Amino acid sequence: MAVPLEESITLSVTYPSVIDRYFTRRYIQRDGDNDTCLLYHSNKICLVTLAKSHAIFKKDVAIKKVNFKVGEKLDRTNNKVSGKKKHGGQYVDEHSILCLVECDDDSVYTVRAGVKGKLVEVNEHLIGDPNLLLTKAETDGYIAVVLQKLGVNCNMSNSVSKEEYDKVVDE
Amino acid sequence: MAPAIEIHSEKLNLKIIEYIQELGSCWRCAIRFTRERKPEAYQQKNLDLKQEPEEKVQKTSPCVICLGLVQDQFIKECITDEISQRVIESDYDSPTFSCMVSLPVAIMLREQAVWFLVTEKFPELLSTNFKIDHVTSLKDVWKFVFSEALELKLKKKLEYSSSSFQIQVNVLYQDEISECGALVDMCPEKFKHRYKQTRVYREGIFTRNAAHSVLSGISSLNFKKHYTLKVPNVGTHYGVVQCSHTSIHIAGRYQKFSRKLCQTPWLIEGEKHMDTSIQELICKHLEPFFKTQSVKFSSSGREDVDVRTLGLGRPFAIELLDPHRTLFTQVEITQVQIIINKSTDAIQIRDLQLVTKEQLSVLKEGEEEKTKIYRALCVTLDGSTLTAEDLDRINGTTELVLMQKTPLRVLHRRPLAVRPRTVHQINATLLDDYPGHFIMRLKTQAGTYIKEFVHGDFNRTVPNLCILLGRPVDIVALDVDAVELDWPPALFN
Repeated sequence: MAVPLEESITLSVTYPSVIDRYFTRRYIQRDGDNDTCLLYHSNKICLVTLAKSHAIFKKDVAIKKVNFKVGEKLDRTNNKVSGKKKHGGQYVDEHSILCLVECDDDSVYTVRAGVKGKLVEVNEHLIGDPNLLLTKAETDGYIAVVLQKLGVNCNMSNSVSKEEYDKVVDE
Repeated sequence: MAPAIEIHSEKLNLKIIEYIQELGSCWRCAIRFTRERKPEAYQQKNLDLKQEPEEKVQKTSPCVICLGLVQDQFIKECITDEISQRVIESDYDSPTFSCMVSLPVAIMLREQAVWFLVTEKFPELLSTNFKIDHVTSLKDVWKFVFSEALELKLKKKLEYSSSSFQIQVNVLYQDEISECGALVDMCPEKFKHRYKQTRVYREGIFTRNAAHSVLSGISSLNFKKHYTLKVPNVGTHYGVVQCSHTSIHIAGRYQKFSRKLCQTPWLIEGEKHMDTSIQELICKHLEPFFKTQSVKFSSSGREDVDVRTLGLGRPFAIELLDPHRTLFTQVEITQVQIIINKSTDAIQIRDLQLVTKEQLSVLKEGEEEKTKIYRALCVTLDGSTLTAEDLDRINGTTELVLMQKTPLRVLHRRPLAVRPRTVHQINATLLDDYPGHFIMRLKTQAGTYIKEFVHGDFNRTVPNLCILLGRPVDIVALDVDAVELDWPPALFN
């Protein structure tokens, strides 16, 4: 009754990527090219990443440190969540600073959340290997995971779609 | 404990019975206080018993204890007709039944009152370790009185200890609340907050448990201060009769051939997201067969919508609530299995059979402990094809421990955690004719997320196949080849 695995689907040369399959890409462009790309999952989980148009990609610098201590008393690595609803997660909104990216030419970029919700986790791999942000910005180098408030319709009014972004960036 | 009171003379018993009847009780309630346990004693009146005084026979009031429930002049035979109508209409096929009779709490008060009066008039009773709990229960007497008629009309046998098929008879009393007010006077702390808790006590604030705890410790003096035995104005009446049968459990194994089918109905904002589900495809045919309207589906783990389940299939169990049909053979169940298998190509089931409730824990054991075998169709994302060395390296993997953070795709409804999971074995072969594609057969610990092992889930599962192969890879399709749980027992059909 069962066809073999390789015959049970249509094979192709390329397939939609993990991000294409599960996420909607939205882009926020800010002054100074401090652009971020938000990956919205249909389940309200949102990943914050650097957009390819971010200023950092225009320079030929390496990253010295990704600093999650964004305030005197606020360290994003202290974020602890428990349970399904992620109790205890730090509340972030569009303007909340997630981290400071310090480059070896002493420039510093503040990365803001761009989305409102509870901080679930920050990518601690960036602490040991900050250059992941440059090499794998959209995947392994993601910055943080935010859980949007459930039961509230997703508000993406502060960002643009991939089509609009691509148009602007290509100019 | 031997009923000590029987050591006493028949003469004493007769005196007790006479006294209680003089208080206003019917003969049945009177002999209950002699701890008479034989059903026949309640069905046929013993001629030795003194007749109730003339005036009481003429203008009879309800018995001061049972409120007429088992009193000759007040017995409502029609209850047996009502019960049998309800049962026959509902078409329950159980050959036995038991009755759960729920009595008004006021009767507890009245029994307590009579008990105090009797033990004061006949103090010698107390020396025989006679307790109020030893008085033959009114519920049992009700059953003695009505069992014959019920058995006849229902054509089922009454079981005094509980049977799977239960008939709930609700006895109500109009003056329940006013009489039970005495309980509040006896023990105000117990009840005063109940008046406000309207949701919890919507059926009434006077529960049997509360009454029992108030009455069991109480002194005769304190009791009499707040309650005096009086002839009731009205007798009892019957409330709704309810029937139900204990659940039946059916187990089997299912194979899933569709990549567009979820296991249980998937509701988004109250609406069905997909046409049907494995649960519905199976239960659609079980529900009419067992005559049930409510089911609970459980299984030994679950696969994603786009994943097939092959091999012997995944064990599942279905609880059918309040089934009206309970007599059936394995042959008949197998026929339902055949019907289900003919009705759809999306799934096929096997080994469908009756199981006991106790066996269900095996399912969870399977979900948490048993290994699973998968086949994954994967592809490299950089255009390369795996070399023989790559394959050797992968196939040499045994007992690889992964640290899997909760996958992003389920992170909205699961707690964030890192779970160690073991990949026991991998066997990868190239898919000829399709460069970059390869098939990986894996044997893993229960609870391992395969897709995340392949693509890495943003490196939140480490190690992952991308790291092992040194290049980005993704999963194209996944099959479950085996769920290694040897349950339910294989049937050769």
